[in-house]
Amino acid sequence: MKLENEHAIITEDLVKKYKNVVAVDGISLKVKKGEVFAFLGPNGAGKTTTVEILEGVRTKTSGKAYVLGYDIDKRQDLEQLKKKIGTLPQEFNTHQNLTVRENLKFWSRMYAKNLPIDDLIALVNLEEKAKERYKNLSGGLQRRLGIAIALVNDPELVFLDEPTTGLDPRARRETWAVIEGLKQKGKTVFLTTHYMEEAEVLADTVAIIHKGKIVALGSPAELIDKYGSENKIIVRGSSSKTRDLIHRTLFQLGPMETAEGEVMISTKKAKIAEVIDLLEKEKVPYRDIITQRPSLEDVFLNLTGERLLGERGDED
Amino acid sequence: MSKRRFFKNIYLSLRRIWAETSRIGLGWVRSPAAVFFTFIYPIIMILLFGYLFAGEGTTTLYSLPYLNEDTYQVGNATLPYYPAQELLTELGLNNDSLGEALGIKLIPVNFNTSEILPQNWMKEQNAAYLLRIPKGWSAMVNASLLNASAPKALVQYYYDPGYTSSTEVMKIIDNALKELNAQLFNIETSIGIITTTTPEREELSYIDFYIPGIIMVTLSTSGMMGLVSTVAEGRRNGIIFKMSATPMKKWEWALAQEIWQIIISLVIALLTALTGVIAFGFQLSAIHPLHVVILIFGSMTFAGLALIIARFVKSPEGAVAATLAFVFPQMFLSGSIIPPEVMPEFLQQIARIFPLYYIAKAMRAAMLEATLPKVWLPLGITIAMGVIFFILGSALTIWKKD
Repeated sequence: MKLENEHAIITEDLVKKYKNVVAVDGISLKVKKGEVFAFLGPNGAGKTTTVEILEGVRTKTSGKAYVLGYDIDKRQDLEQLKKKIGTLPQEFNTHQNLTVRENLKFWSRMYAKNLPIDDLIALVNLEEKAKERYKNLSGGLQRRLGIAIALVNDPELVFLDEPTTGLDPRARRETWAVIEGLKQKGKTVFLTTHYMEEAEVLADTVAIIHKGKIVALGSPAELIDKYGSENKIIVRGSSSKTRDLIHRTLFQLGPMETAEGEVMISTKKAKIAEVIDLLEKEKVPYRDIITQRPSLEDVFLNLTGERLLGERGDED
Repeated sequence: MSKRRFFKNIYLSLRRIWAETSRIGLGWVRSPAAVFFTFIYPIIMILLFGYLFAGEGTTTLYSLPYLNEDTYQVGNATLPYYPAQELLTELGLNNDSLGEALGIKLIPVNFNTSEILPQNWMKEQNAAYLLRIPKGWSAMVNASLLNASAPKALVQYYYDPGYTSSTEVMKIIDNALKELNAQLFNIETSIGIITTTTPEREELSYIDFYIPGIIMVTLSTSGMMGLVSTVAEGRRNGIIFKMSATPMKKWEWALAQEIWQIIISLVIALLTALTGVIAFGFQLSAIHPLHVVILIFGSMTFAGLALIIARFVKSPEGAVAATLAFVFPQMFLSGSIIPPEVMPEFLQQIARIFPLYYIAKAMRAAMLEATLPKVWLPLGITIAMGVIFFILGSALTIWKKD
């Protein structure tokens, strides 16, 4: 029986244990219909395991989960659910010897309701590669096909597990555009990622997951405001004398750090205009001033004591 | 559920099954290696086992070196004494057609046994056997003609037990000696044998009985190995789990695999039969409509078994080893290639645990009107196995990650 709800996903104390390892440790969350919900965490945090449980392709140890109102513990509910969701697994693969078009046609036939194949090919910009076999596509193009396959049945809810892993920056941004397009069409997107920029740009709600537990939940702005470090205003000067002058002029704004050629002021309150006024009033020369806002990376670091590992130092 | 919805569900189910079956076929057609081995493997099997075991149309000639020391000189010529010469004649000397019929080709050798022992000579020459007629043999034979108590005249046969043919050659020599014995001592033979074939099998040859067994052996090996590897690879690369996130049901997917196995088995059967016709004169009139039924349910049996084995295999590499561990004993013990009656009793009992035993039995029984009444039990078992193994195989298929 389907529960009608404003939420696309509800989980209550979801747990998945393997012998000595607890991969998912009591995850409770609610995903609103029509939003982009991001699960942000490093590799091995439990993101994929959670997603697979919600998709119905992995068993759980305990807890409850309702996806689009269907109870994933009930076989008939799960059968109904699978008609309405689309999935892009983290390690996506499809039939090597079929072309892009043939693969889309194959997966379309799994469903009663399909989107036109040509529309899907156009959506992910694979028109020129429509007749190319999957095995001959680059990694980025394969991933794009994976996204198209996830949408063949025009799903209400799409699970995208690390959709831009391994893509170059341009391909990544193109994928973001596709995801934003889904949101505009009213789809609910459940996204997992270890790229904090991706979560910041795309997500309405972010759940930060660490060692199987949700350590923070909210919009990116809320999380940064609550758990993020202070803003940093960086004044770049050309000499040590200038730096001393900056120190003496701006000390009241907040703690300062000095690095090669620059002074960093951590402050929640001060604005860059205020700093410029102060420096000009005291006629302190400087080269330029920039603001560095805290990010979800800072949030993760402050909450867990560990780095998230984004584009630089990416473990993928 | 309304009637309309019920039929719509059936339609969608069939559509999914056919989508997967045709997808497998398209992938197969585009895989040169798969096509090559699907066609080449049954041809190799039928040719190999046909020539090895069918026997007809082939002649094995054992080269038998012989050393005749029982000779005398006339001028420059060395001539054999009479009974020795007669023995060699019985063995096909200077008579190629007799030699072919016996399976022996005599090769004269000459060495001095006081300088080198025959065994050492054989080692040097890498000879498997040697017939030696010692000096004085003919004289001893002649003495026996006059005096029944005279010592027996014995030829010497040296052989390497590492060669299985050495027993065959010994039998041929022994038969020739008996023939000569009867001839020289004027022994009339009063006991003989008349051969008659079983009814309506007069025109069939040995290959006609091998073909069905070889077809099923080919299906069991190539079909099972292919499917077990496919399933293991599908789990490793995630396609099976991607499939399980769609409305496709496990049994639908398993049925699609089975349907493909049936299609390919019909192709292999046709190919094997045609090869048998061309290479060995296999008679197509031996094919009965029941053979198609046996093929279908036989393929289902092997496909189901493959799915069961795949359940316990962790990788595509392990898939090959696991399948071979089952397929090879089955190939030789099931009676498809080696008749069960030549095997020890305990092996005959073991043969009965293999599905191929009943399938091959059904295939053979269906070949003739006279043996058709015997087809129903093994046919029934084959059908039951096909259904049961399909149900078990699809039930045991891993469709969800743990």
